[in-house]
Amino acid sequence: MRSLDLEGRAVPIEAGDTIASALHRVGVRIFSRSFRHHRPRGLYCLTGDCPNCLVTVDGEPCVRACVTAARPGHRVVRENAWPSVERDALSVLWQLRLLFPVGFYYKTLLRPRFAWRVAEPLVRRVAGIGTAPLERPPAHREARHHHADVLIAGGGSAGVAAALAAAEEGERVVLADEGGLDERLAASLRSSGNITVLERAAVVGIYEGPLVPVDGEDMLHLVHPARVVVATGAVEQHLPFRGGDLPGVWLGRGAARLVREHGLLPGRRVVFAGATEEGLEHLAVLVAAGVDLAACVVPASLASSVSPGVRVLADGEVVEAHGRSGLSAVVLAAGGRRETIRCDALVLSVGLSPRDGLARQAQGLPVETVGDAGLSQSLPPVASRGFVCLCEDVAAPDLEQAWNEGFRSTELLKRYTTATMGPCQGALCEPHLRAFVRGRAGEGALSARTTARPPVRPIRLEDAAAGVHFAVEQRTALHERHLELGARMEWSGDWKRPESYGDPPAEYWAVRREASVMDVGTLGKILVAGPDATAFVERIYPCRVADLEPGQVRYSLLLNEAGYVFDDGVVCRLDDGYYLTFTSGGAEQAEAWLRDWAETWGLRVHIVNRTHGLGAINVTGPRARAVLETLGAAAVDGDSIPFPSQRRLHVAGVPCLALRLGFTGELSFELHHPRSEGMRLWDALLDAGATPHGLEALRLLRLEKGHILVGQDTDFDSTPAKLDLPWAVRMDKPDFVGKPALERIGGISLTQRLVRLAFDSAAPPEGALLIAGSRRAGYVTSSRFSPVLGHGVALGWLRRQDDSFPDAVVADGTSGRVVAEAFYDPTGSRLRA
Amino acid sequence: MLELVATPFAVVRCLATSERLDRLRVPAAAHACRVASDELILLGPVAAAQELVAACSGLEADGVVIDDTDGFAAWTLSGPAAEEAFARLSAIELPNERPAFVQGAIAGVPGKALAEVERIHVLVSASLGHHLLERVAAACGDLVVSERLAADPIESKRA
Repeated sequence: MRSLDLEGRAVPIEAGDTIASALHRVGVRIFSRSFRHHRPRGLYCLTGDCPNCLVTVDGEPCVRACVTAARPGHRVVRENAWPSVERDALSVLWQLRLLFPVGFYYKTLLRPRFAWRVAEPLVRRVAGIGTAPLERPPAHREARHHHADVLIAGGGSAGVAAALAAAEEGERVVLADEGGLDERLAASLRSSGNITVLERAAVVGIYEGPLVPVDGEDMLHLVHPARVVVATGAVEQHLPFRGGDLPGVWLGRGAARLVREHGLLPGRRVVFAGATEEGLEHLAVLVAAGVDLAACVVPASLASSVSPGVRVLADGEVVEAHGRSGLSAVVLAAGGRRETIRCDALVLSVGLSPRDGLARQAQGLPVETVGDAGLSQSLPPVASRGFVCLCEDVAAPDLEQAWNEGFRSTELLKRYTTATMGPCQGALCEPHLRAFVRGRAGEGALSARTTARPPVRPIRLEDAAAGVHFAVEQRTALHERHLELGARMEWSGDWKRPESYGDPPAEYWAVRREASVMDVGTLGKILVAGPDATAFVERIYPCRVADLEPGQVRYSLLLNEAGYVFDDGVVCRLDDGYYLTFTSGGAEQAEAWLRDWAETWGLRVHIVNRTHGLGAINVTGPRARAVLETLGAAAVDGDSIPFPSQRRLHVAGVPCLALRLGFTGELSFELHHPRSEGMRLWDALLDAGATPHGLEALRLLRLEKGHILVGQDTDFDSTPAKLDLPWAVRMDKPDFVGKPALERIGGISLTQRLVRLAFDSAAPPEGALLIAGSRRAGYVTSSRFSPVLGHGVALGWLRRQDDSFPDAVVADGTSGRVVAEAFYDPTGSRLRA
Repeated sequence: MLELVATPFAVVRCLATSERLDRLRVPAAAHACRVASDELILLGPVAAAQELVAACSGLEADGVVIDDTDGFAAWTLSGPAAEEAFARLSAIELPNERPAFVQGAIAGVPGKALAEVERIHVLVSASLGHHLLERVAAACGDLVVSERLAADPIESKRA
């Protein structure tokens, strides 16, 4: 037999069962305990609107049992109770409710000051619905886009009619319904060719665009319609009265659906209270199903429509309901008399409220409502007893108290009491909230409807993140080679790069003593050409560029309009333009930045991002030249390609633009080559004796030379002067980006600057405080122990102390001094070799 | 049925004034895709790359012509489920006419797409070719992706 598991008990499943119907069939009446007071709650609406049947299914909390199809093997646990829903020890909170008045967390447990700290974990533990499944691995859901002329939310009669009408006009229609449509109807709609039907797919919200997310069973549908039709119907009005939340109190549609769709009765002995024609239909369904109808409360105008033989209390009202864990009796009043009637079900059909949350959250968007969703909200009488908001356990007296405390509008009451903020999002309680305010303040802004926001239906966080990829990883052409060599990869911007190949010290020494290679294909690489290319780059960079001859190279900072350094790189003068490099991960921002300025200045330039089409390998170390010569590179001597310069050459037959640079402090050739030739060039370089090094070795190598890493050693407001790089800026140029700002601040003496620090022994950790005398003087941005020098080296920000910058500091217990030149090879003889 | 095939496209980027690009005579073997007012890319068989570059030679006087084949990873979604797969990868609406060229976010990264009948060529940066493959496998696995899923676009271009 097909069955689900309810807290260790096998529950048979029949065809068409929801979890709720399956449980109801075997006698389950309490489906949950309420949010705040742990009141027993049972099936109520059966339309997915109320919070009563939220259960945990297969570890997933807050699943609406009444609209979720039962599947064999489902593991169902009822929520918010200890030790069990039937015998919940925490139901004592209802008896202690005077200790927890509405908004208690704003006004109680304030003194002593530790009180809230102690109480908060307890409050959080006993309140709320369900438990987040922290052990479950996150599921990645996918999204699918639909483009349509019209999205119809709701597959009822109004929605289907709207879909057919739109399709007849030749519009592309997407119809979404959170339940299932009749099979033949769905097939007929689909056969029209213009209608896409999404079943068991709830419209979550309407965003600008419009963009309409529809939460389907298998994926999130992202619909981009030209217009939206909201045909979500109406929800039956909730009726607050004392005991009105007991299991056994039903809304009419829920009771009728239970009978019609599942052949089950809401109770054996039923009292009916109705005020609408639809309510009489529900009554007829119950009568036809054979319930023992104890009494029927209807307006006198409808009394004649009630089946003969049913006891009618014309113009009566429901006063209160009795029972402990379920309904046992109701008190009715009619004609000035009160009467208590024993029953186990009370069915209410007192009116409709439009389910129009979607339309109300789409202000200014092309959205229309049809059918019952377009009804105007008729307000019920002001409730004086019972729970107004089932989701948050807000009772009528709570509203009264909040009002008396000064929260005197629907929005303020909503925020203070949290009514309308639960899973139903006001579907059941908002009319009562408004009725209450209107009763106090009259019709107007104070009693206006509350703001509707997505999601209108509960949605998993994983659904909200469907189709979103958290980490897009860029890879160079050599990625697989790095893995083959055992590289430990790390993020560098949005690239993955080798941190090391297992032995950073050996990699470091290979650069200092032999020949080593590094994949620097991640560098931003942009070509600038066109008639105004020289004028353009001259205005972009703070250094002189126009005097560069083809073959020459210059290091430069990049400044923003405020004169702050945001990137650095080199400018290579080519025969027909400029080849610019940027830091790894900076290419896209740099490209957009360049295009922006080109457009601003109206210059005729062409900007081509070559980052992805070109690879780059830095060959560095005393033997770098020998390695290139081994691979057939001609004219790589210091005269043919001096530091700094560039020229085209072939290495192992691969055409390269070789840049003679020196970030590592050693003889270096940065070989920029076609991406597709990357592996061949890399393999040849390794075969010729070079060994690879990763980022960890590079960080030390560049630090020994005192080179900055933009982002690590710079702050958002680092000027060239602060970085001790005044030579990188030519203030005598007519103009460059950031020059006006640098002129404005040029006369202001520096309060801090980046300095090189040599330590006596070990290097302090990055981030360590710098102490000068007994005062804080700054902090370390980069630090390493230098194997070649035998002591710690660092860069750090140093603050002015009185009239000067200190020249001696202590960091992490180690003494250090400020050094004016590069730590390693200060004359640059090695990189100029 | 969805088949994903590494497509060895030649990609030639032409940057020039709008007027000059408008007058460009596009070789019969190429698809001309206007990506900006001052940029057009020609897509064609890898073997025709030089032909495509040559066709643009007149632009070089005040423009730029670059064979940027290495800069892109190109994959073709083909079969009846091609459009369904594309809809799972991108919010871009494909026009009804074929061929149609669109560009924007595809699989969450900048991309370009050339739609033909029952097949869509998708181009992303070469450094993101693996990402597109991973996204197709994750989002379209139920559409029966063919065995050629694992092909390497760079290798294909060499071949």
